[in-house]
Amino acid sequence: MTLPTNAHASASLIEDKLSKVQFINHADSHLAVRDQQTCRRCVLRPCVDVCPGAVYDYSNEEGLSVAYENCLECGSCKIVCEFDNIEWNYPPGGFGVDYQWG
Amino acid sequence: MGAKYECIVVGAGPAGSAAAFTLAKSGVEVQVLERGHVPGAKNVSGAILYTNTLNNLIPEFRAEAPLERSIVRQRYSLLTADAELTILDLSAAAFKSKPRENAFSINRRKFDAWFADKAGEAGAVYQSGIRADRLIRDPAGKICGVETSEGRVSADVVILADGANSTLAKQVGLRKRFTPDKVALGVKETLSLPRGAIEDRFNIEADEGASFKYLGEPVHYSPGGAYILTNNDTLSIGVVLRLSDLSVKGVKPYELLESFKNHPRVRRLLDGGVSQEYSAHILPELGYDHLPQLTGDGVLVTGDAAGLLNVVFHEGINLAMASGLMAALTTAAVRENGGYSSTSLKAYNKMLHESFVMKDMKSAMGFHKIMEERPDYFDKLLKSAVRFATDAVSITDKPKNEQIASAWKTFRSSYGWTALAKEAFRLWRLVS
Repeated sequence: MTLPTNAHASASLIEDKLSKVQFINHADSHLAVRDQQTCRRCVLRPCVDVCPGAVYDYSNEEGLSVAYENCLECGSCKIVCEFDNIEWNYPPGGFGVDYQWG
Repeated sequence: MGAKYECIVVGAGPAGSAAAFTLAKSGVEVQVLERGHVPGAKNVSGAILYTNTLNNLIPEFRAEAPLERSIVRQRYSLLTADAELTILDLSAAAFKSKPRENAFSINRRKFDAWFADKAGEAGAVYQSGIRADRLIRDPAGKICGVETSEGRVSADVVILADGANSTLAKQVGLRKRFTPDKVALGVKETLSLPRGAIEDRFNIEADEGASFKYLGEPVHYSPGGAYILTNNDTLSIGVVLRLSDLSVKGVKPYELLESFKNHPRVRRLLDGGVSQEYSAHILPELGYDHLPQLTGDGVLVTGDAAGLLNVVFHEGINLAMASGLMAALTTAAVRENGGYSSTSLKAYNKMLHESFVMKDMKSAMGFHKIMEERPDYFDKLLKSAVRFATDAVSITDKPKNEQIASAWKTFRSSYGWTALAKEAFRLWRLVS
């Protein structure tokens, strides 16, 4: 198990990477948390760790927050959620991540 | 919308466009629905295009397709924190000419758009920027069309080429919910570098490409890997590992990617590269005995949506194209045989099984078994192999035979004779 890295460095790393990704974002989120209480009971919150776009963040005050604008549409979050608590869909047609290189 | 086609293809990736191209050439009315605003906008891969199937579809692709470099150098290494043991480094001029020239690096945005254009020229109707929301069934339960945000489209047959997440295959019960041990996540960065620097660093000519693959430390010795692939004036750098391994390691995927880029045996290859894009995608590492149902009443599943991925040899695009082609041939036969019946589509499965697609999926079962049963398999094997090589070639005051015997003894302390024989057999079975 790796020790948690410096949270600030990690946030700046992903911010930098996401700044290179083009998005055509829709005004509405295509992702939703079904029940915040379930996230509060969840111990590991693997969605936060595996998401390559740092879409998910958890705090005691806010619960699980979803920054759908950073979503790379990989689908990892819903697969690791053992409570099936993420309502996952693709963004509406024509919207979302817009890869130039792929 | 509200139209009726003989066939609807969902997804304009390699599987979807191979299907659309083949259908159009056979005179079948086909519509392709693509959720990206253009084909390619949503697609990510390593990305080596293996062209065995493309060559049959569009023999002149070498002159026409937006290819990056022809892969003539293939290199596989084991990485520990501070050592690299290259186990294969093959460069051969034979890979630059027919019949062996069949691996190219590509930019998926450009390539997928070109392939879609070819299918469009052949007569397929592409509708981009439309998300397929649901499959529609007729009163008898047969799938008879697709519901989109723009309305309904009906068809005799729907071919699902909607990628690894295939929400539609799941919706109609052709596949179960994925588990994190059967799906890998790949994250990738594209770095720009001058062409000359790429050629010097990878020891390739102007028209040649290289593929460097790594096992070990970059993915914390899980059964995943890392890679560097040369494009014209960019490099693709990525790491791939199972979601279950990623959760256990407690490290973020972009941190793994960054560590790989900064590995002492890697960083100089990338030095000065300017990041152009960051991307992510999942890989369906289901394995032959966990594949989804590939045919249903009125529906066929292809490519990543069908779990057609060779995890041993890292092939996907060619399996996608082959399955798209076979789904199209099956669909085209429906009309010749006098219309659709519930048994019309069974031939698809048979065709896949008679081809390299399912034969290779079956051969890879040994690897899937190791991933299932022994997630720590690579940890011990890789570290012991690198340690043995390092010890064996170290120059000391000991005579050579003693030095090598001592290295071997250390290696053998982790593997008994029986274990060693088993591992050797297992490794052989993985590739044969």
